[in-house]
Amino acid sequence: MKITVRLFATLRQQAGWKEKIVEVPPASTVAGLMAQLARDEPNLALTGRTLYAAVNMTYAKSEQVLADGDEVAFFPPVSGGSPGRNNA
Amino acid sequence: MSSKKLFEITDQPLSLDEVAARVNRPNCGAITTFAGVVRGETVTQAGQRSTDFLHYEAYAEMAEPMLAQIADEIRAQWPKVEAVSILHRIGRCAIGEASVVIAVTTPHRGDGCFEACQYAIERLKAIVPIWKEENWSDGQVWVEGPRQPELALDIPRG
Repeated sequence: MKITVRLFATLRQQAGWKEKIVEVPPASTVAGLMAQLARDEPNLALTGRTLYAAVNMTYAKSEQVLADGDEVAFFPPVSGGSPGRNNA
Repeated sequence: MSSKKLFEITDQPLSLDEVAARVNRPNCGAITTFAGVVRGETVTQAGQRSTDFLHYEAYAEMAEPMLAQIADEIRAQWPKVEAVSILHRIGRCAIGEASVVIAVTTPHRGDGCFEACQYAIERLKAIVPIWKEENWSDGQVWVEGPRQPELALDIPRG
């Protein structure tokens, strides 16, 4: 089945693309998709860091099962808004 | 004015007057506003650091509904809030420019508009998919917000 993968911020820069259609086996999970990306996208560092995922624009966990045509986004912890407290 | 969206990711400059106008209601006598502006100088443990400009990136199709969700959370907690508007900039933002503006209106000032406005910016920074890249004269870095445990994936061991 076909999944639209979208990447943002550092992940987009590492991979060198922001959107791609990926073919995955039926009943794949978010974790399965990540394992496939880790294998196929050597520049994309998915391990050893905090990552969020969204399926069809809703936050998802790694065990969520995907359906054909889903849009799955991966991104680092969000940092919008105003500077707020000192980040350093 | 009523045709303007209440929740918007935009590459256009933001103004407090504009966001306040979007929530103005005839039955309301209080509007609180908040602006987050790009700070040029930050004091860190390593000393003072200067920023040239910020670049914001958003997952806009997800971010705009999440801004509306924050407004729903506000109305659940402060039922007298009549309207909330949250506008966030994307693209390049110069020092001193607003990157986010928020307005909340209530019939009276004691009806929760101050608290709701603060809630809006804190929630935005925690859950809305927007990222900023700090740029200096000699480099740039993506800023990552604090990890929100309820959102984080269990990362497979690599």
